Amino acid sequence: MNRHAQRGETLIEVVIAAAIMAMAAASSMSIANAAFKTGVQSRERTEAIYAVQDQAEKLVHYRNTLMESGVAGTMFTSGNFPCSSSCRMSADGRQFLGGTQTYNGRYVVSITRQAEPSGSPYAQRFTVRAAWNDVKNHASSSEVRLLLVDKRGGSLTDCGVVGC
Amino acid sequence: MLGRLRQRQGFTLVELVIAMGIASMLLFALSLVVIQLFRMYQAGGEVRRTQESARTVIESISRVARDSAMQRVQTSAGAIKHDRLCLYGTPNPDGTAKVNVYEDVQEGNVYRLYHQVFDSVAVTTCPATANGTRTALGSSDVSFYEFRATAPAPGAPGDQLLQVTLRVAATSALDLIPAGGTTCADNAMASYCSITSLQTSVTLRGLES
Repeated sequence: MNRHAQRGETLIEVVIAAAIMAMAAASSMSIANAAFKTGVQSRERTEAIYAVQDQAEKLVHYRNTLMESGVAGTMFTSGNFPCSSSCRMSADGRQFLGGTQTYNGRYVVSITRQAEPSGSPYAQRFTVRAAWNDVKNHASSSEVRLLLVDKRGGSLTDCGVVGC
Repeated sequence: MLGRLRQRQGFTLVELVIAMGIASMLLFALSLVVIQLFRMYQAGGEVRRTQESARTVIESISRVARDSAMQRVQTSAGAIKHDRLCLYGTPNPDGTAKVNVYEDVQEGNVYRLYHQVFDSVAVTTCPATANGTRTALGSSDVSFYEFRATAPAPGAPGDQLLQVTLRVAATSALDLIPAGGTTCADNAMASYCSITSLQTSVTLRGLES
């Protein structure tokens, strides 16, 4: 009896203990991996938002240069848009181009032109949107909306239509 | 007497070797897990640090650029750019202006982004930052391994639109950057890649205000 009580673990017991340890280690690995990927997701979102802002700033610059050139009231007429559903700005921000722009080889940024609000030719709504597949392979997107107004386009009454 | 002796017998050599073998295999597996956990923890910190440095630096350059009247870019050779960017305040009648200079300088295998303000410089020149009086931007454990400024020459159409690209990597992960690679997408070790790459455009408004 005394001899029996002092015996060590059997092989089966050791194997079971090792299996339990392995499961604990594996689950801690997957938790750590998920935590790391969440950090990467945040980095991706930051990069995508900067890509969106890059296009948005060029869009605003386009508005400003057209205003400087004195083409009053015509900047948002359809003739200035080669595209309506998927646009991008040229590198110098002086014209619209068709298609999308890819940043860092993965963030696909596109500008969409919405219908002119209240039919005003002096204002235009745009959505700048980035789409990408994130580190967890989820389709992600991020967007900003812009209301651009040509204040030289007409009187304040025209402006008042869209509340600028 | 003989029975008691047998009772107090220890392990045989074979039992001991087998037990140590099993124990060392378990410890080896455990150490792999611990090393991997540590690597992930470290990589997570690198991702956050590069992001923090990239964001704060690109925002501070943007703020200065927005208030500036004109820019001048000195482009470096090579595909990966280490440019010098000069952002001038409103010029004085004698053709000088206050200038903020940003310069990407190689130090060993690390690139540091330096900033220096000169109170009065001819707007036709873009001076280099001076060792000793310039300040390094961002955290010290990251490398600004690409700093690209793109803008037309002063006076050319669109010269008020400045585009800045910043790529930041952790110094402890520089060996993960492939030759000629600029983003994590190029990287075979993409899962632990710490590169943060930001690109932004700013319209200089100094002359308008």
